[in-house]
Amino acid sequence: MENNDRHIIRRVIDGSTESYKILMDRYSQQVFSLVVKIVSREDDAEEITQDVFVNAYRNLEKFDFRSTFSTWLYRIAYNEAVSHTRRKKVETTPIDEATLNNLPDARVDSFLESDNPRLAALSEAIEALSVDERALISFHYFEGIPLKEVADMMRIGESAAKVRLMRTRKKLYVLINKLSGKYE
Amino acid sequence: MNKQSPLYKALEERGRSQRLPLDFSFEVMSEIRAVERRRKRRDMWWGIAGYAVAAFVAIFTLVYFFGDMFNETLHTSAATFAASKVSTVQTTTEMIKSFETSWSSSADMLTSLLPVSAILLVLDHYLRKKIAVRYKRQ
Repeated sequence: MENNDRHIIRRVIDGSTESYKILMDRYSQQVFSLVVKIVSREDDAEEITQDVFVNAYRNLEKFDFRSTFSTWLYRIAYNEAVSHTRRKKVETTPIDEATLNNLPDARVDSFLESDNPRLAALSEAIEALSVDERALISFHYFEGIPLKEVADMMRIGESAAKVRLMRTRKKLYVLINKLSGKYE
Repeated sequence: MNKQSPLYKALEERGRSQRLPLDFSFEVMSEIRAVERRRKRRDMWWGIAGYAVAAFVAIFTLVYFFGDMFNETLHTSAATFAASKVSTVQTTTEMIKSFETSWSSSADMLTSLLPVSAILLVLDHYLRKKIAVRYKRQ
């Protein structure tokens, strides 16, 4: 973590409230971009980002400097996004469990890494995932956060995170093929 | 993290053009200042309550164990003063009686001392805090 972040955080904890603005200016867009990836709607993302920074301020004394400040913010962002989605009762596209279980992992992996034209429907397929699933792939594939850390942020075990990640990839595979009108 | 993978690119595309409004920091800081004000107010009331309880316990203990001594000392002092002033004997006798009445019970002493002590202790708390803040800034 930047030494500068540590120094500013200590100043805020010691009573310099206005110093918090420096942290906000540094991380707000980054957090917002991540939240948009998780929840999609810009209005919701802005409201959630606001809640993230207010909650982060309230709990700043609990930040133990073991992770980076951005990772800690992402953890709060994930929790806020999940709470927000539960309040709004957003529905997701159900997928038959048997379909997912019968899909070979290798086929899914090679498809998602290929340049198959059907992957044009990938964005739409991501939209049909749940908040947890979008958060998982955003943290791991976009932010590059190791799966162990992602599991910790989402308060699940590492094995559970691996299983969920594979399941999400299979779900994307099924959704893409459904959306593109063809299913292998 | 494979930045060339279709999944990364699709995720990157999500919200790429979306930016926070310019007044975002201002709005959040306003809310945070309100949070801070509420917290300070809460701390102040807890401080007052704490000091009031401490003052009550201290005074009650003093009066409970030493109330009679105070009474006696006051009475003796007032009597000595009265005896040395011939022209004010009557007034002094009345004063002694008045002292005896008003200081005759522990409860009366408590009622008189408690609010004064509480006010003094609260002032003490704030002055100490102000001095500490000023010292920290230096």
